[in-house]
Amino acid sequence: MTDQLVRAQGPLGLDDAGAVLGYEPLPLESYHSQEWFELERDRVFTKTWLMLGRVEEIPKTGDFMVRTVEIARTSVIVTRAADGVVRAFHNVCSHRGSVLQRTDGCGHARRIVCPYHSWSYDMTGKLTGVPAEEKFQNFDKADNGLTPIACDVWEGFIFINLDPSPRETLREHMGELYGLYPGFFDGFEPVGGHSAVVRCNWKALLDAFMETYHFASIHTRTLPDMAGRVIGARLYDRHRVMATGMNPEHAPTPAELLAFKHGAGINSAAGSTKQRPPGLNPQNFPTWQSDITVIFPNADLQIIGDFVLAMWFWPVDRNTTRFMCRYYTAPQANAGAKLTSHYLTCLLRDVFREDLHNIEYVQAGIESGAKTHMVIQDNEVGLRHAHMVLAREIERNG
Amino acid sequence: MATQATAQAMVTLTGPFADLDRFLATWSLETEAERFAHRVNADYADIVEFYEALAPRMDEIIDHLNATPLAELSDEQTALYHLAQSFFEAAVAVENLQEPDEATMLSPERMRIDIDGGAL
Repeated sequence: MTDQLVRAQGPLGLDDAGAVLGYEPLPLESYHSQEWFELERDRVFTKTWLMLGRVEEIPKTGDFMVRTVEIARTSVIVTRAADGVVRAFHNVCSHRGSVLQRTDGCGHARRIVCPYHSWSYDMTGKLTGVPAEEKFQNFDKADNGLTPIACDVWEGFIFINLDPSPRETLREHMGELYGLYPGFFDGFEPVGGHSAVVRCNWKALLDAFMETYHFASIHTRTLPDMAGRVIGARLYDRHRVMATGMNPEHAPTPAELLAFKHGAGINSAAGSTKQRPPGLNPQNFPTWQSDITVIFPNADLQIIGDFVLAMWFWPVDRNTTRFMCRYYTAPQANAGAKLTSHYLTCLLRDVFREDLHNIEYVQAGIESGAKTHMVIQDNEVGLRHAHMVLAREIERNG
Repeated sequence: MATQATAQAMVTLTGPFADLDRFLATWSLETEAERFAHRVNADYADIVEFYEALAPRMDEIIDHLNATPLAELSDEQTALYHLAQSFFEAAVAVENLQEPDEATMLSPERMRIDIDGGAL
């Protein structure tokens, strides 16, 4: 099975995925088992590259980004130092082990100061200030900097690897995705962001963002006939891209027409204002709406024209997930462009609230134990691929 | 936040948008969190009234705002910008939900706004 995930001539598509991946029901055990959760912690989330955000979120010297990674039992701080380099550290003080910056998100500071005893660090992780330093015996500040975390950047997206000795580079991790979007995201700025903690396993939520079968049930009002259904798939070794298509008979609402008129960049049909990179709609689907690029293990990028929606499914415990999304667009020159992308953030906020509400009932049903497997149709092939990849990575990293 | 909302309400819309001045106090809210909270708690009739008043004027509003660089928007234009942001908030309620909020959605207070949408 392991070697069959990718054909020699390219990724599996909707037409041939079934023949290779099979049609068997998928086990539900990994959605509620504590043992599985610990395997995911030990062999995936503390061993592989994890996407955190974009370089534009910390553009200036002294900017930093804090992310709690519950499954790895740590908090990460990504900094931008005067040399322009983006670095990541455990957000933990060298003195008594306290967490330093205590709020997730982005901030700016001259120094990172521990709230406990005011030890301070510069943006390169160097310990620079220790109150009453003379009272510490056999002590050298140079030996007590922040603990570094492997950090690298792909197309402006910041990744970390919590393994002290990563088994592969970020380039190796990105695999077939590596060269698909050269320069496309350059300068993309965050124009909004939402998050919520929900009672479900992280994979249950990720699953909801890899298929469009549920649109006609869950999103009947928020996405009435847009019904961007999955029209294509590219199943790579570890990652996958699901292409969604627009319903040609979709009747746009007045707000949607306004948004498309004053912000063509968000309308895939009108074309991006940037040159289309090789990784975007390579199949040339005439009704193409977006590509959902799922980056193993827990992030995806939904690319709609010049509007990119990044989503994260952060495991908190076996049945709790922190959902996080960030909306990025090319720099916005005027109020019209800002307003039109804001229309999408308002609409998508409610689309996601529908998904998040629904998923807690999915988890509750799974937890009942009434069903041991789920049955998958062609539109949901991304789930099948994700199951196989996760199982293989757990086996590989054992 | 309450202070900012109050300050916003002190501005008066003049000229071609003077007729929209009556909406400033309730809908010209500076942050996404305020606009979202206002929408889900508003009477649906009020949302519809606001939506219907703004819908035919949005092209004009956007063209007017586009004529000024973002960094140079006056207080009056900024108030108009926040009103236009609220239009899109109201549009979701009117065009999609036909009610201020939907029972089959994660409750509004559980959805955290981490980055203020469309902030100037």
